[in-house]
Amino acid sequence: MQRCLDLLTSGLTPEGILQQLINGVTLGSVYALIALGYSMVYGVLELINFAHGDVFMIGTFVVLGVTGQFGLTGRSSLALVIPVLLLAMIAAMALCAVLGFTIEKVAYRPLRRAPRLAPLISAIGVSFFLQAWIATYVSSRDHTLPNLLAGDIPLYGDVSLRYVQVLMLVSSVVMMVGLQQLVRRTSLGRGMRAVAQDREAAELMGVNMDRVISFTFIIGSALAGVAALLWMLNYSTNQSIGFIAGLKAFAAAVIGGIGNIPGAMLGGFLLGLAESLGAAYVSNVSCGIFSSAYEDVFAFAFLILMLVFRPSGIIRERVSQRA
Amino acid sequence: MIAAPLAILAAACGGGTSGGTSSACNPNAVSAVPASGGSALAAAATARLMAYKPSDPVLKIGFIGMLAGKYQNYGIDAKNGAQLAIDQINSAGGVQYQGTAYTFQLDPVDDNADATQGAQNAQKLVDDQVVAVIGGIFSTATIAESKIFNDNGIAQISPSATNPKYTAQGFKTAFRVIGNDTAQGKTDADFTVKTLGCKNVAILDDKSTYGQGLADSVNTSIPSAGGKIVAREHLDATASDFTAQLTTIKGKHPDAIFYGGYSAQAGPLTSQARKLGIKVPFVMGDGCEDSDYTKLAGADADGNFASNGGPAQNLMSGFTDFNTKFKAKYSQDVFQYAPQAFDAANIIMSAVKTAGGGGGDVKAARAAILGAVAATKDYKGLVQSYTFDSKGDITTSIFTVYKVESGNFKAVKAITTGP
Repeated sequence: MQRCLDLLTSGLTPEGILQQLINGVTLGSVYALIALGYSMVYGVLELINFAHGDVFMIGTFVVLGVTGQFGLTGRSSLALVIPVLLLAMIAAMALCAVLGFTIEKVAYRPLRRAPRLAPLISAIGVSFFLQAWIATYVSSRDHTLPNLLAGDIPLYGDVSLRYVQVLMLVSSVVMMVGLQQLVRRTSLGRGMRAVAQDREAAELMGVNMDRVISFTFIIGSALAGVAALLWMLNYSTNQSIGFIAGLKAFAAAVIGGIGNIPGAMLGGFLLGLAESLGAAYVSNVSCGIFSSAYEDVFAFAFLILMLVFRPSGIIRERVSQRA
Repeated sequence: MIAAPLAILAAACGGGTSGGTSSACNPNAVSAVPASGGSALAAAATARLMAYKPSDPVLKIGFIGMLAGKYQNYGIDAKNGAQLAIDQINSAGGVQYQGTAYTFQLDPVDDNADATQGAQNAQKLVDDQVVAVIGGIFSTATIAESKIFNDNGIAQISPSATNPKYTAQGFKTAFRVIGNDTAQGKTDADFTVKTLGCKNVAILDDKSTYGQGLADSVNTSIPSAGGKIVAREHLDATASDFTAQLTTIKGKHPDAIFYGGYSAQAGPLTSQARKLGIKVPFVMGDGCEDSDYTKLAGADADGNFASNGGPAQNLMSGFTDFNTKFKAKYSQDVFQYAPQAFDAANIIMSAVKTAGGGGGDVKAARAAILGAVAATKDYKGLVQSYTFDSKGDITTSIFTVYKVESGNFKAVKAITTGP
């Protein structure tokens, strides 16, 4: 008993908790950006686009390619790093968008009137194809970027906010607010909401459904391109990274209430927090029975609990019913 | 592949510019040792003592390992090492035992580093009437193969499989000429605490059979070396974000971090640690001592350490001569385990010298060789001197610790671990 108390008091310091919260929210912001792609497509088409994680993976390789072209190192000056990162982001967004558009045209559109399982299997096929293609023609090894945006803002005691973390938070929030405005205020957004609500009625009312669906894929994939840049600033990539990152983002979309934009965002942050806090404190709060080896168990147990109590996610309405 | 692949990927995990935070702990105290002049290999007699007679018995020695695929370099290299030993003995007239001259023939099969294919091709070697086997290369396949050879009473000597389980199954036929992961863990713990003087150690692993096994061994050995474990954390081999574990470790202020796992995670792990402001050195095992680590960790690789089995090539006496002969025959330098496979083949052939080759009876040859291999004591090989214990492990193993300097692993210390 004493040992458990010791574990609790020694492990749970305010500084540690604050730092883990920051870590969790930044990791969550990337999950949230990827989750948006799943959520939008589901909201509009009721299709789980399992290839979305792999579109994100391709984005990470585009970022690697662009930064590699300019030979960036950890000592490159910000005057070079920032334009190159911007260029990498635009390239990743553009290529992911083209890829998302193509995947929809080739793999999903012909199956639009087929039974629900057919496009799902087609999505899994596309996912395998993209992974195999990267592994065969690009690389089957792991890759990282050098530390391009070193430095941090000290907050309190040992706790600090790194520039990269600020960038991750700011850019993901900006993207999400932008997307929300697009869905709410533009005619394209109105079309998306209409198709989501009732595909046939929307077509009868003159909504160009193919165009709306294409744009849904283009926007979702471009956001995955942004996520790819943020991911590479912190983490590493290989041909199968899209599977794990995609699975977690998909879980985030479900927690938040799939088909719903603020929900995807909230779900991403929650999952990131559950993972970080789980890895850091599961041992302390379980009296040392569970170790940090259980971080994913913790995160997904949280997902199951959430769904038991709120089966349709935190925010229940879909894209269509909002606004 | 369990423990062995790492060994395979022998390269060092490098570290970043790391200054120990504790006053006692100074990772910069050790630096690379210059290459020692290679002394002449114990020269194999090249004179043909006897003319080969077709009636003389030829004994088949099996080789099993990955010969085609992702890690084929390791398998082909070891196979070439064994072949070189056999060619040297054959060209010297073979081995004499009671008036019979035995010569040898290598029978190589591919296990694809896979347990199922390993077991199938181990059976093929049995059917081919081999009298002893060199291999496998990776632990998972080697362990699967060891059962087949045990069932048939065939001595098996692995040049590279390091998982402790291989020799812990109670098989009288399983041997290896490389230190296992338990010995490596002890080596890493001693190096961290005694050589670097880093008393407070945090331990991380990737939950793999190899990574966790090695980390567990370090975990046991740190206190006996006089150090203290301040954190024991795990990460997921599929994860990319290690900041949660690293933040916890940072809060415990270790002098060094031991990581049990492979370079694919170790590289990004090192970078993320440096980004979080953790400046202490990483110490790693043979799974990280490779160019993937230095590439993935980039500038952060410098100053970190990784151990690997056997002496470093530039510290192995006789290596230069061996490599010259090897290169003359195969047009490439020794890659990794050729010296160990060369020694394994010589141990088998020297067993024939002691106990004979069965005089044409394969079963008798297998039993005679098995008995003599098990009795190997102070056999002077290229890499080291070998004595097998009752389990089939070598009683004294040599490990080398490498440090990353300017993006490359450089040998800094050879450590001999006793029984």
